[in-house]
Amino acid sequence: MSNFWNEPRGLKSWLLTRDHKRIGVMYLFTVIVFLMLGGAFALILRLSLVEPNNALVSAHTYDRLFTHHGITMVWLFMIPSIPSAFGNILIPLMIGARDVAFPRINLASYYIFVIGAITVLVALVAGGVDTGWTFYTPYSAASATAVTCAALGVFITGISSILTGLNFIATVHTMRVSGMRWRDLPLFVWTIYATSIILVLATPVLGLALLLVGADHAWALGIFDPASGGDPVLFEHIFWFYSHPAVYIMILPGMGVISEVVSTMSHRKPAWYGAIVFATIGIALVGFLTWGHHMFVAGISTFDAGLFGILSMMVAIFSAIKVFAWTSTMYGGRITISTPILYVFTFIFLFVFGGMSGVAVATTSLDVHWHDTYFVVAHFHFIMVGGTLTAFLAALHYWFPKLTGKMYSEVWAKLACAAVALGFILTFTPQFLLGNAGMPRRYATYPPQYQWLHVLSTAGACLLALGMLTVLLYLIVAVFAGTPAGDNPWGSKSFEWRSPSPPPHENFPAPPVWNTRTDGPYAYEEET
Amino acid sequence: MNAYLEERRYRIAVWIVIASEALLFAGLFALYANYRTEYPHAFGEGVQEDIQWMGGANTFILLTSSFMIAYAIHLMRHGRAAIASWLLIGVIVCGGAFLVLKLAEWGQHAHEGIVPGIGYYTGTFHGRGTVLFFTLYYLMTGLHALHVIAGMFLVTWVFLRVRARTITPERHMALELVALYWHFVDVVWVFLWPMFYLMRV
Repeated sequence: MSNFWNEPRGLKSWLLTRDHKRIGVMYLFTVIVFLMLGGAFALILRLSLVEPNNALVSAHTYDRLFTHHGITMVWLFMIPSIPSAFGNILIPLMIGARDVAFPRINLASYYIFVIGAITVLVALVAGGVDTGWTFYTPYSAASATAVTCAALGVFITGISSILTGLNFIATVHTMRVSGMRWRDLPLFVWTIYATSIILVLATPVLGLALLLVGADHAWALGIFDPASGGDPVLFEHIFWFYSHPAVYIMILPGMGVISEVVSTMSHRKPAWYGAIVFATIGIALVGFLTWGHHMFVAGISTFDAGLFGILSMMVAIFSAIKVFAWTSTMYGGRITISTPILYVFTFIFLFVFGGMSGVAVATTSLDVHWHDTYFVVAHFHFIMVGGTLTAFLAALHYWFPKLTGKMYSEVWAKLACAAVALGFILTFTPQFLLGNAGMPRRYATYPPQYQWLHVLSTAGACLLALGMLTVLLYLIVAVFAGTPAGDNPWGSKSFEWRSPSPPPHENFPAPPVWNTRTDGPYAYEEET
Repeated sequence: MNAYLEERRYRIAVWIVIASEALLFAGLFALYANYRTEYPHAFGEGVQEDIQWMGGANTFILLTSSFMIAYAIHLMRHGRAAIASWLLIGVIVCGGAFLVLKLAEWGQHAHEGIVPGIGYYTGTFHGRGTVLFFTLYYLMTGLHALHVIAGMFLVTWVFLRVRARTITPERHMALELVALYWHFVDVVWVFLWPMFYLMRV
């Protein structure tokens, strides 16, 4: 059967493809490679923390490992993971289009991403960077490591982000199937749209900040150097103006995935569609005004700190709207217990606890105690990494039959999901306790009284890694030997399932027709 | 896809590029505002060091070029493609003149030893903040000059298409969108002009 995998044929047709599904698949493979790389860095870090005196790697290597763990996971995995991979694959399918608005720009954005990623890897090979993923000045200007190269690499991936965001916005505006109104859009499309707004508006500011750091490091321009009157805190402001909204680049598409999976697996239309859309846009906009909460102890005024704290807490209100909407969609629904919905449960658990600890660290008085401790590490891993990773895995399992036409082994998938969920919780719950007890971030060694918690955390990381490797293995097996899944194994009403699985080259064999009343993405028969 | 949506998606793309670029400059404007507040004296002194007539002349040149490209669209709408294409030549010449003056000014500064990086000569200036002023001066005018160069390439491309009659009075969206970008580059300069040439105290 001819589909986008085998038609047209040949390596060249893949490398020069303008088919959004192929570009999405190339992104998917690329980000999975970086997920494994970043995960390997994390595993070495955790193993070296089993001993209080860190016999495994030198302190300097430790610094470079956590820096590259951060850079790889943030910019090479989480930022592109759901938007660039699943967004590319799904947006045109979900809105009944043949492709994205600018297929050539789409391909260019992939290659720009690859060039940026390679530049970051060159920095790694050239000895790595030891500044932490945040490139804080003045140390980043003075560090003897490959700061300029890494900053340049991240800058290049930023160009790719902007082009991807531009493409998605233009696609949603102009490529919808005739008759599909904005309020008919699947929630995943809404979240990608909101994410794209952040991508095009915040990324240039990061690009600027990193170029300045790179230039400062290379040519001593002194723009953030106190010796010439520069202000290092100003760098933090500019950096976090991007990097805080960036966590919404990571989590919003994840929320979109959750909305789709919840609705399909509960066989109901989502509760409070309008409220979820409102919360999505709300997070994207308010997210631009919260960056100062990273600087509560960096010398900003009490007034500013209070304001940023309150604005940050507003994000929790929007997030809570979503969590309540998901749970009330499931409540009383006829839930099919499948692997994607198990990842949704994991997501909601991590998201609620990560979110509540987020309100806690947005409280200025508490943050002074927790700042730069493992508490913050545990918080953002719960909400940002846990959220993105579980949503990514939910998406991978939910749309796997869409992409391949095959079904994986549910038994293995559920086992792996249990390992990932338990491993994740076991890794980071001890880190909340460690941070609260005063263990600072980014230290290669620690006093012996913290050891038992570190050992627990490392055990969790190993379980998590085992779960992830299992996922990789059974999915590879399923690609070649999975049972045929049929066109719509989950019984979803959403548009992407109306084309054959896997979809043919231009998505729909016959031009799709849209009728708002009967064809909505969530037109489930309401059970009475 | 109908022609309306076809055109609309290019419009959206250009506006997004402009929004993105605006945020890129916004970061630098924020730096300037912060450092100027912190070191008003050094920044005032720095502005006096910049060559005022060159800044003024460049403003005049860019505003003229913006007028010409706007008038080119007007003429195009009325079917006078040949004159419009001559105005586009005028825009390119203005861009070139702008860059020549900019290079001359940089050269003048370099001649006096005000070179970015370790080699800053700030002997005749008083107090902290001068290095920041000149770093921002080179960064912002340099980034802007890159945009002028990009704009000149785009205008040249549009000019060639007008000559090749692929931009016609009936279909001239590319001309309008390039003009939009050119106006944006112009507007950025309108803000840079007071920051580096007029606010002397």
